[in-house]
Amino acid sequence: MIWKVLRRNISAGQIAGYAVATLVGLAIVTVAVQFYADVSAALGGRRDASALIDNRRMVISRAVSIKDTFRGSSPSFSAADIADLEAQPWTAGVTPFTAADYAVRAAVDLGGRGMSTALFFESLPDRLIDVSPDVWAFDPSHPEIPVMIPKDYLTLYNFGFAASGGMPAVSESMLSQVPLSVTLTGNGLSETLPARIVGYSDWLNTIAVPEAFMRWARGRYGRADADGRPSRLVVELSDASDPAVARYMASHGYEVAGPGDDLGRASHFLTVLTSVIILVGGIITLLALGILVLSLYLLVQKKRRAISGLLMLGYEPRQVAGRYIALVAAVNGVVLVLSWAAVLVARRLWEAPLAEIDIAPASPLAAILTALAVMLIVTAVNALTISRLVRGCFRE
Amino acid sequence: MQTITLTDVLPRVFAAERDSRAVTTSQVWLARLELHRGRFYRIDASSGMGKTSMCAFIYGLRTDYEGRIAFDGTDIAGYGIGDWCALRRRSLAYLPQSLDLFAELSAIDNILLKNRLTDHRSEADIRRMLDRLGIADRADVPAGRLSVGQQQRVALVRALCQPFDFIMLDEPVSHLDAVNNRICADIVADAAREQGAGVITTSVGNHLALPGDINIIEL
Repeated sequence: MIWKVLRRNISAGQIAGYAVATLVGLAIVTVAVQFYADVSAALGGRRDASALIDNRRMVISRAVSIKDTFRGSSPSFSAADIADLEAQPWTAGVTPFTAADYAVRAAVDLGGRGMSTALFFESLPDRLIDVSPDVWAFDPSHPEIPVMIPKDYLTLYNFGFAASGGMPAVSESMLSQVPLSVTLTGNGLSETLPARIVGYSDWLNTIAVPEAFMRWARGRYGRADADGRPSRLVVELSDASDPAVARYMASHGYEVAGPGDDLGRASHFLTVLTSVIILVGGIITLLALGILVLSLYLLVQKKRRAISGLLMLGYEPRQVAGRYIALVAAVNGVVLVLSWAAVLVARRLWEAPLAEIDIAPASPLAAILTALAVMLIVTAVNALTISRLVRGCFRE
Repeated sequence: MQTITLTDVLPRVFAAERDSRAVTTSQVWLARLELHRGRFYRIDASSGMGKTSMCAFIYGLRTDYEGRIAFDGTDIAGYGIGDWCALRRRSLAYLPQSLDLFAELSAIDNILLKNRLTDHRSEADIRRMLDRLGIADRADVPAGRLSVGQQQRVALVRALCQPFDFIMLDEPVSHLDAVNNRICADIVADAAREQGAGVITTSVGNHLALPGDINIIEL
């Protein structure tokens, strides 16, 4: 019966206008959140099984200067440099490359033609090497050196050297079957050990050997006076999209290898773009909320006499306000459900293109919860406004 | 509630006239007035002397006065909205001069709107009262289509749909003839005596013909 008194003067058009405006604003915010969650898997510092490239790691080195050339040394990182890097908020870890301090020469027989070359070896902790531990083990009593080379080396060989020299192209699996002979010279020793290529890296631009082998080899063939300062570092990032990373590297004159830098920029761009879209959606939602508050003021003014009449009879403000709050909450609930539906429909637009590059869509939970949180806040503001306006009718 | 006490009360709108004859001779303004439960009072005054204002002050509708109004010694200035809502359901009944019926609701619905809050009377009781007042056949008519006299009777029944320690009736029978006036008065007196309640009525001329001893107060 109270509703019979209160429902007059409620404009269905105003309610519909508020609902549409809020839906537009909320849908923009929610779709942007979902888009960011789905696309950032490819670009921004989050790894899952289908991540395009893991850009959480980057290999950095110092730029080579004329001084280094004249000095006959290669630029390296001091302990202070490494400590400063580790202190940065975007760093999850810094790992130096361990370089061989002995001579390395590798020989191979390919298609009847023998080739040999001077080589270099570097090692990193096994956790940074993407090969099975079974093939990465080294046993000094039965020494066979597992080696990992960059994928680009094979590509260079197949499409450069082999093509121009009439040599056969080889695949990764074929090359892994080819036995290598590696001669290690140093500390008065020169020994030849068998080796095999067991893995190909798409981010490590080095010829990598197991850490266990490097420790054994440096102890056996290494120079006592070797400079222990690393010339390259693996920096693991907690946030690859942080623009501070690129600024730091540039200011310290560090060169970054690999796609991490570009993808970090792309990830940062995605963050900025999505933030702008969310801001626009948020502004639209706020404007819709503002329009509703004005409409509520108008409605309560029109119904002031009726509301005062109910309060005069002894009805409590919450009993009167509750009817209006229930109406607004129902409208907000419908808007919320429609915004969820909008997200599910909208993500079909980018699901197929992402699937083509093996990116699985992220869970819609973040978008769902964002929309729910926004509508809870909007409803709370509505409820507080209505309650205040009704209580304002208590006295003449 | 046993007593309503007004001490040096004066509507702020009368502040400039505090030394006027009307105010200085008033038994209400700038005076001490004590109203007791169980007694009947009639506030007589000409128009514009503040009868409706006094009722509005006591009922908590307005606070634009100076002085002190107390219920059982407690200043009502400290009452919150919750306190007033409880009083208006259980302790203070009010029939305003403006009646404040909801025009879109029928006569019976206007009454039930109040009775649902208090559950004080059955619908049969209410219809019997309407019948006694001669408007039973108008029970289902929207209040906006009733005459002023019929609306007064509906508002009276509504005011009686609650327990009360005091009932205030602001010019309740201004549009009723003598017969209906008497019927209204009997209904109010019966309800008040049932609860040992006090009755406060105001009048500019056509006053509610309450039976028994009436304390007449000049506003």
